[in-house]
Amino acid sequence: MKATTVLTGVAAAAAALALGGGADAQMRDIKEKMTLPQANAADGIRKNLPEQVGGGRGNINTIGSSLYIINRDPARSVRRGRQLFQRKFMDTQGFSGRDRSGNIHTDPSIGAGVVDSCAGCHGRPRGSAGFGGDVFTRPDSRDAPHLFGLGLQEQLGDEITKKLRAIRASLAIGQTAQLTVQMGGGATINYGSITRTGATTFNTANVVGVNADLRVRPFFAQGGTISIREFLVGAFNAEMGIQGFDQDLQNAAVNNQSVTTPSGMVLSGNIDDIEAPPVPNINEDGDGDGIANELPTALIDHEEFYLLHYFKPATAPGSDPDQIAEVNNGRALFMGAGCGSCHIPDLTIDRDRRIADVETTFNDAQGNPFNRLFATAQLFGAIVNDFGTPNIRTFESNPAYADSAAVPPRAFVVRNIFSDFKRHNLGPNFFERFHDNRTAPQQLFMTEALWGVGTSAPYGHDGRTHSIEEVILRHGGEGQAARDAFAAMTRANKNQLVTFLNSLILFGPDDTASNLAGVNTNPPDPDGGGPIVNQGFPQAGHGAIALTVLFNNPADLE
Amino acid sequence: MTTGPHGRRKRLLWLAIPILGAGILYGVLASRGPSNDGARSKAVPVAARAAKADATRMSEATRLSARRGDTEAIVGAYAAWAGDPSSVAPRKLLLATLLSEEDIAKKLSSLLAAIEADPTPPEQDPLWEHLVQSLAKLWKGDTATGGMDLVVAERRPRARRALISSFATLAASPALLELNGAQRQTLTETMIDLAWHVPASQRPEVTEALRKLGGNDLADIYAGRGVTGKDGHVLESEVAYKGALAETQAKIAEGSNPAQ
Repeated sequence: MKATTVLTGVAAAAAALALGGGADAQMRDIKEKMTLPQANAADGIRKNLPEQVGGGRGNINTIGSSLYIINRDPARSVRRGRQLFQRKFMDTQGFSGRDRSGNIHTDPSIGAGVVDSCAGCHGRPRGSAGFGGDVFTRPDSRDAPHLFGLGLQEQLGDEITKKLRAIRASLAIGQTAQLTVQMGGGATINYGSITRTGATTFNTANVVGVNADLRVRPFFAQGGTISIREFLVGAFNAEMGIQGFDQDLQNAAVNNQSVTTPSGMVLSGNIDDIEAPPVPNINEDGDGDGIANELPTALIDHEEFYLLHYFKPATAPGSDPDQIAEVNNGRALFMGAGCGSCHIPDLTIDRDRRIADVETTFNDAQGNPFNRLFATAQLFGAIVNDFGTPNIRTFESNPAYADSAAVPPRAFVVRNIFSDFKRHNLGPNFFERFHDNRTAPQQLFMTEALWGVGTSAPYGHDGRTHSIEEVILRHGGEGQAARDAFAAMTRANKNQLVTFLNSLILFGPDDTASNLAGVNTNPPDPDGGGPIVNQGFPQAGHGAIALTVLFNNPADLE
Repeated sequence: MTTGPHGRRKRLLWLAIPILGAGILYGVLASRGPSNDGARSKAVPVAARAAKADATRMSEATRLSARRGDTEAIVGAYAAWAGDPSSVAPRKLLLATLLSEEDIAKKLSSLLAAIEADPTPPEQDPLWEHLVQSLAKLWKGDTATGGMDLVVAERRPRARRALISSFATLAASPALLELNGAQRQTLTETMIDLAWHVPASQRPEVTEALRKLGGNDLADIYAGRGVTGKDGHVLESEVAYKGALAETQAKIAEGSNPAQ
């Protein structure tokens, strides 16, 4: 008989444990690095690639497998995913080698070049899975977006899709319905209307903001990809020249099956267009570099789990009452101008698949001097006693709110996301352009989620705009009225609105104090004599978001 | 604090006592009929019938209250008796029973279900103010944080309106200061975000809540005043901004350091 124990409350660390590696945006594992002179065992990745692969995917009883770790030691899986994200891949591990002599017009990713680490493009602020530089591709360049809150975006896109398709399924032949969904906050997202014309046919001419299949694709500026798993397997190939075979994607995309990934994402290959893995089996050397199976499935599992749980952006209204008033006034001006009709502030997930959430807010007292932020991790998964060693800790049976019909089981309110998960026409200033400035076919873009906007300049899908004010003024089309409302504001009010947007920020996890380790035990300037230089900074003593303390065996570092 | 099953039963018993007591007291008083017997008329039988009906409902409410776990029946009766002015007291007793639930999730679930099930427009609901005040009293500590999520997540219009009103009530009360700084900021943000989606009749209380939470400018911006500078209204922040600008310009003009 299974017993379920709710993991409630905040997981606070009794002791601040040193966290292995993590100070650099991109890291090599120490077992490679120790061969170099001056190598320091305290930084870098503790486990080499074969150790990270561990027991492969296995199952929940295969010690060291990805399924075992995800289900029984989830913080370790998240951490391993992070280390993989930061890892600098080497030629011997399959990095690059991809033949880039093809036609850039038919394979735009050729223009992106190659990078040896995920963090090479997604590494700002320091050490985070954040935003990055301009990625040179076709038809136009792209600014690498930040990945904060990625799991929440995947879930929101998925749940909106389910609601839209439920509306479609409810139609009788000849019947028309408005495709409107409520995701909390009182706002309604309107995707137009749909008419059933036959048993399996529909008139989708009036569907707007989403493909005719009603599948919301939250990833990429134009709304191109459904899931984190497709996103990461595709990026490893296109940006790093690392081809991974993934049975889940293969089953969904090629075999048209419905597959549930280890992170709980359902890939409905029977009804959705899922992206196939770059190679059809583990023996295929996709780029002819002499290496096959460059990204074993276990690593995909950990990285997917990591990105599912990646932090939400923070809010930093400051501690000065005047500044807080400006931020709040700016928020009201933002809503009053109509910006909030597309950039919807808060959305609700009915069934959160994560096992934990990290809330990061401005905290003048407990935050580090670098950003004065403090992150509070809260576990809301469940422990299922299946007499394993250790027991399963899983999101699958999270009973939070189970007794409340007011809020569906495992609901989670995603605050300050500012998006509607819909494509819009923002006028010619936002249309895709070729490098010679001709307008490209892509004219619709997903509403950019504004969380983190205060620290992720430049702006626009193409990074063409240097400031928040300018990117607001760049809006046209469906955003014209809101843009004009902003333009008509007094200078003081424009400033307040921009101050508000600047309070929506990203952060470096190594530089952010948390309840998980090193709660700034040395205040920056306790006696007015100058800040204390902390030994072991930043991984010990000064505060960081350190998942190590949540491992089943914290001494076994990743 | 006792948390075991015996302790729980004990607390339930203590909670049942005032509920049963109130019901019995009302039943006794109602059965006695009108106390003013100076002008008995033909209307008396009608009044007596009404009183009898009241007593019947109170009796039923008392019976339901004794079965606290059957929230579905309580919610059903609460909704079924809505719109009948003579049922206010029995319905209030039912609400008290729902409010006496210790588990906050269950309590909110049943309360909001009852609120939603009542078709009476809030402006005509004799229990609306009582409901809102009762909800507002719940918003303390972690429950306040959860409640602020609930107000965003709730999609049923009447329940949602009650939740917003309860937080507007909290914002205007001294209890606001019992929230910590982060909670007050979250409440301010929540109220701003929801303000543009409330029905017109709820705007006044939301306006006042914004004024309490964020000052006059916030309420004025919500009313559309002082945004463009062309309506004759000047926000306090506009005055401060222009004052600071003029002061800096004056200091520069006189050659002194504007930072001092």
